[in-house]
Amino acid sequence: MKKILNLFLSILALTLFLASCNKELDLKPTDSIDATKAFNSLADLRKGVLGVYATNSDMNRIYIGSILADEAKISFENRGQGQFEFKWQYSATESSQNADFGQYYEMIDNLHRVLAAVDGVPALNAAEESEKTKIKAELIALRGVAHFELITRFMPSGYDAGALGVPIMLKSDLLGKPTRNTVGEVMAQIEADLQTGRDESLIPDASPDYLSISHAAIAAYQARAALLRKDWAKAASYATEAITLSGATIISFDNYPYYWQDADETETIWKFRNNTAPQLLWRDNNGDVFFEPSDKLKNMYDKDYDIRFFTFFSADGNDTSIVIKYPGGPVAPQVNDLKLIRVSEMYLIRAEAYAESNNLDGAAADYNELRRQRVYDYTDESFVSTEDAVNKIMAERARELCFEGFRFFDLKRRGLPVNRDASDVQSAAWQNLPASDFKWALPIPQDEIFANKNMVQNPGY
Amino acid sequence: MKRLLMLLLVGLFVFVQAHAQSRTVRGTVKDENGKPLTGVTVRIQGTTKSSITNAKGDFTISVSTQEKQLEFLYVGYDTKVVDVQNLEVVAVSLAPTPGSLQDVVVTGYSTVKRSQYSGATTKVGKEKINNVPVASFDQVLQGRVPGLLVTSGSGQPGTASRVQIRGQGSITGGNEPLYIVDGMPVEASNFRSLNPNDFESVEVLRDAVATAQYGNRAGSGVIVITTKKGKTGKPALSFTTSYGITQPGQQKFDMMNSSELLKYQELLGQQVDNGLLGWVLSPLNPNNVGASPDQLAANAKALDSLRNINTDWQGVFMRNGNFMSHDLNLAGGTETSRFYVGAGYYAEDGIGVRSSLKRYTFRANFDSRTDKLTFSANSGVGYTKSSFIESENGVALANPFAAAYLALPYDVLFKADGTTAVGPGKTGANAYDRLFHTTQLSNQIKGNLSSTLNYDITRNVSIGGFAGLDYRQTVTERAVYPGSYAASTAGFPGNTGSYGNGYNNSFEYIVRGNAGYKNTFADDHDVNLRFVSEYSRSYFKGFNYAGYGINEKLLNTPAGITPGTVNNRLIPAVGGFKSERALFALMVLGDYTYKGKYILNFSVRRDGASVLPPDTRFQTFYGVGVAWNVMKEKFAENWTVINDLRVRASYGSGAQADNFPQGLYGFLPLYGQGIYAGNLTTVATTPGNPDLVWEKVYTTNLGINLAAFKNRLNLTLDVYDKTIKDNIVEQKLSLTSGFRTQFINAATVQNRGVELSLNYNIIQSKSFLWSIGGNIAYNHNEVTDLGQVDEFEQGTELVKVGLPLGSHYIVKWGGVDAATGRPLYYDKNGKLTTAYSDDDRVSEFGTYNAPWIGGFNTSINYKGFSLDALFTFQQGFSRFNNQDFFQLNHAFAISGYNVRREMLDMWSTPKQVTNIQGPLYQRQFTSKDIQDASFLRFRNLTLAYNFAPGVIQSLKVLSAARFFVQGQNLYTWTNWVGFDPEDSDNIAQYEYPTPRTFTVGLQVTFK
Repeated sequence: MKKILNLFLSILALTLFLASCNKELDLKPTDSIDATKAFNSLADLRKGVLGVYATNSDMNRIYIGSILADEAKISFENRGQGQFEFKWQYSATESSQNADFGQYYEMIDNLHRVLAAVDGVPALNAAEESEKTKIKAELIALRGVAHFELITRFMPSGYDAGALGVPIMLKSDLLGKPTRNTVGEVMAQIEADLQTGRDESLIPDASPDYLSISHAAIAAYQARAALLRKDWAKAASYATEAITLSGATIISFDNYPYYWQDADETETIWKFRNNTAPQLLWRDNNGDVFFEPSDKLKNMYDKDYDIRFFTFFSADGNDTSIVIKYPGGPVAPQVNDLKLIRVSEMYLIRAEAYAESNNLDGAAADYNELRRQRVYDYTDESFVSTEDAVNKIMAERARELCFEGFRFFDLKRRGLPVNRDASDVQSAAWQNLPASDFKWALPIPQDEIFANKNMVQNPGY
Repeated sequence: MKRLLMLLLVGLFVFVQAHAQSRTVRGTVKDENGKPLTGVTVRIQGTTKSSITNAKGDFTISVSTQEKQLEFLYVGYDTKVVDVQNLEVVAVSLAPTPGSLQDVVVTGYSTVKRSQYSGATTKVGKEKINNVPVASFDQVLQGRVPGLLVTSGSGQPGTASRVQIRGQGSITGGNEPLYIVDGMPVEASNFRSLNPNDFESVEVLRDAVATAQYGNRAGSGVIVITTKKGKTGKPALSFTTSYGITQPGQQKFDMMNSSELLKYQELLGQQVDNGLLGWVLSPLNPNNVGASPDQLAANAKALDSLRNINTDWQGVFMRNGNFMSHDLNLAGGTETSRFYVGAGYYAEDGIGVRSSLKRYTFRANFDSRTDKLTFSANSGVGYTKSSFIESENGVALANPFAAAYLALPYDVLFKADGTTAVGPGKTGANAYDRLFHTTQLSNQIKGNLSSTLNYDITRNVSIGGFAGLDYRQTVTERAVYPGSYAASTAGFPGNTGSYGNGYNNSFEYIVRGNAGYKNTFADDHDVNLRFVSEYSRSYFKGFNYAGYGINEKLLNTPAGITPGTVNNRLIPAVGGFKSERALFALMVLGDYTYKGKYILNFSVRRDGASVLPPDTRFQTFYGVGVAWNVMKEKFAENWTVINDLRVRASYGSGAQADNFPQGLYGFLPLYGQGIYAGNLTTVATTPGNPDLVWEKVYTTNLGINLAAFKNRLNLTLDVYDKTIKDNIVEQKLSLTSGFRTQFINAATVQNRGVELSLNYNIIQSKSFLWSIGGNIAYNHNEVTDLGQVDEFEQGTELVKVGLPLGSHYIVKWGGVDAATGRPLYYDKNGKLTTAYSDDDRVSEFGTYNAPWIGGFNTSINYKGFSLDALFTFQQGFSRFNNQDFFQLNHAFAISGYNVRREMLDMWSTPKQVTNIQGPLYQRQFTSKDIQDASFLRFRNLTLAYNFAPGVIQSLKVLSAARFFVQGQNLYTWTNWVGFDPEDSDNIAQYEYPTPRTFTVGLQVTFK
């Protein structure tokens, strides 16, 4: 009997000991947030929303939009940086040509995580309830933005609603293997998402801090989407809405350089708060220049009168031209906010849409409105034909929006080739990218093809 | 009163009776040379009654008439049993156990007689570890232990090596073994504050029976370090000192000199216009056509003066450094207590300017032993101060070992006014100036303490406990001086000068309780069982800051930092981390021996860990081994050639908790904090995996130990299969999930191999001993299963079923098209192509994990002289040489860097056959950059002289003296064209090369 009691007590002691040790083994993470504790309050949701904004950098588009097109040339000091991209020798292996795939899907996943948590978070009063409503609409509009950035990268040149687009993601799905939707389907989803944002009156017309999304910014994206679809009437009307809602105006000739130092927000509709130096896209910290502005681009300016020539380019002692569009601002030297949308682009969108709708006067009005503030002693121009107008507007886009990530995608949207000047390349092999080339549709990252058996690669890769 | 008297009488009677029944036995115990042995336990067999010999080796013990035999027990000596039935005085002489140090296996939890052990272990004694001029002891093990791969990744003094036992097991985790010092685990890869001169021995445990007792920490093998203990006898003070120099080793490539480089630049210019001086000033340059004769003459003169500048950049950045090491220790003890106290100082200059290590160590070990009680306390503390070069082991112009080769030979180091000739593109001068206007320091404090208590309740039952801790604090210091060129290139706010510290703490404690039972049944069955429970907790903490706007009068101190404000924008950067880990285990360890002939060793361990999800947290590990001492069999009694033969087999499991690739909370889905526009954000960081389990290691081992020809030949042979199941791999996720990968248990990796070590005494006489020995191991590593996939890329490696880990994966080089100078590649199908594509990568270039490793040594002892030589080798592996990519690359030449001499052979005219492509084409990373890195290294040569005792005695102060000279890394035979074929990874990227070291030393023991 005593033996049994002893045995029983021993087992009891051992069990208690093990149980206490099991408790000692149950450590909680100290430097990370447990998933169950991430979004429990409205304040948590706000942090989650900011996390979504933090992913919405267009830095990579600024890079590839320039070096894939005819804006840049390889400098002597380049030791291989960006050369695959510049020479269109890129493959599906992940690099800057397709880095956006991961970036924007990460943004979409993060916004879905917040979106999924919104309903479960208690609202203490009506103000909090409406903030929750606003957050939902804001996130859905941002989902439209992210899908738009994706489709422009991975769809083919021109606009074909039946062509392969990108997978539409409407919720977080860790182990999902989605298929690619058509361009038309994706565009429809983008428009629906953007419209959700437009329809929510809690979202302000213009962003007070320029950092959060506004009706004006959404309208601007709607204008870009309509332009891509070649829906000229809508492009013009959305552009007008963006201009009106934002209250932004074209910055004057005199203040233009200050605008690029982030000392002025006259033109800004939406921006991204950046903390790295955009200049380093084309340069090294040690001063080496990897890419300089192309001769072709420089020759497009009136070198004596166009303020942009002096604002965007500079030369150091070795007479190497340097992109200085991002000279630095109040955050830190060389660190600039990225202009996600500025009003000049809206004028150019509207001008292009008017021109395509054969409204040459309307197109010329917007065109001249911009150029009056860019060229000293400017005399208004007029267009003789749609073709003349479109060509001039495209050239103006190149001048105004260079090194902001538009050029390659403007050419792609219009089904035009890249034609570099001979002096901008060391070999004719990478002078021209014909409009028919498969490289326009950027490759889906190899990792995605590998992980997702339903993913179809763009042809040619 | 009457009763009292009665009691007294009875007491007297009992006393007399007892006295009449017992007697005293006296005696002396001596060693094989006739010297008295102190501290020998003299025990009456079958009882706990015992005595101990005094300083003269004398003992007395009271023996009853029934008690017939005395046992004489002494560590390192064979136990002797003497029948004393009819004796009153005995003279006993004890013989040391052959290969005395080899006799016991110290596994950390226990000490087992080697002859009764079934595990695969190798012991390296102090004579091979002490006084070797390397600060990190792991390097000393290279070539000493079969199956132990030690590759040094940096010649920076004190840097730990990559250490791997029996091949790579984990794909995504580490493969470092578990290190134990006196029973306490110490952090791997961080040994610079441990003094190897305090080490008595290092035991390397390789198979499952040896390591299974470490359960979830044992999967990569265990290295058990035992520090020096005191010896019974008069305290002996000894002092060891050595001095030496370190110098750069051999180099197998040549950069261009000034005239070659200028000529090459001109050659280059004829194909690609460039801004290099050799082309800009060339009369062949079209820009100079039509230049005035004066201008042409000026150009020629300028070129001529450039040709005459030949700055020796290697000489600028490399040096011969000094080395010194001093150790003072005192060891002694009484019959019951012993102590060892040692203090050490070690200082080594690296061969790179500015790199050095200084180490101060102190150790105090105490142990005490009575009939029933055993107690030991071991403590070691170390403090090191290290100074590093810039961007060590990095492909960076600030790295002096890169700058030394990439700097232009026609650039000068100093301007005419004596200042450093810094400026854009001035690679050499910039890197040099940087060394003196920045600091990169690291101070480390390390403490390792352990204490063990054991109490024998009865002859058969004992209880005990262990407590230990391992603590490290590393404080790094980084300064960039304001106004320096280094600061000017830093970008804001670093260009205002910066100063920062990083604090990094690691602390682990272990408490352990144990109960033991041992007994001998029916004379033949020896049973030894131990029950152990163990709890360990580790804490990791760190923080760092960097401040800006340094006051040039207050350098190297945080006091010089300008406080940051919104206006000056000099906001200091701060960061840090904090985490912990807990492990708990219950285990049973057992040994059973039948007649000393058949041996069974086993262990079972139930392990829990905080880093696994609650459902899979507890797992069981086990090990079982059997051995057969053939010599104890009847049929072997008359064998004359073979002196010892033991056959062993073992099987068991383990895991790699300390190399777990999933961090501390990898199983949980986690969110992290970020910042956007000055506000906090929350974003998902890891997807987690609720099914995560350990990577489990299963090892089968078969071995034999053989001694023959009067013990002149010693051979150990082991064959093994070490299979790692549930290996963690990154399962790729669709990027649409917002994540790239999730870690899952999916793969299996198998290591199979043979290990042989052999020692033979060629000449064995009283005054002359010549022995040769060596070990060689072959390991076949193969991925046998990857779960859902057959292969995946990992950097420049392909992990594929059927291939070894570390297999290079790159496009195959096809030579240069003689017609155009265009580089050619092989596509996947083996056809030559001009298009370089990642899709054409193949994995036919071997692995960077050497399958053949080993070492051999020879030693000659003649009278007082001894000569020891050690050669180590690694065979059959290849590595990327990233240095070639820079040094054989026209694009880098065009960017203003020096290139290798063979670049002069570049393609320049049609039909030219060369392996150096024309400059019009992009230089790609191909199989051309993979080189055979096999090497044979003359690792160590030591010549020592032990002064004859007679000579020493006459000095009156000394009892022993030894003089030695030593060379380390004397020569390397290799086809590798880089600094050093030996490296800790798959790619050469201007790593700090291993130095060659010469030292002279003296070791004296005072009377």
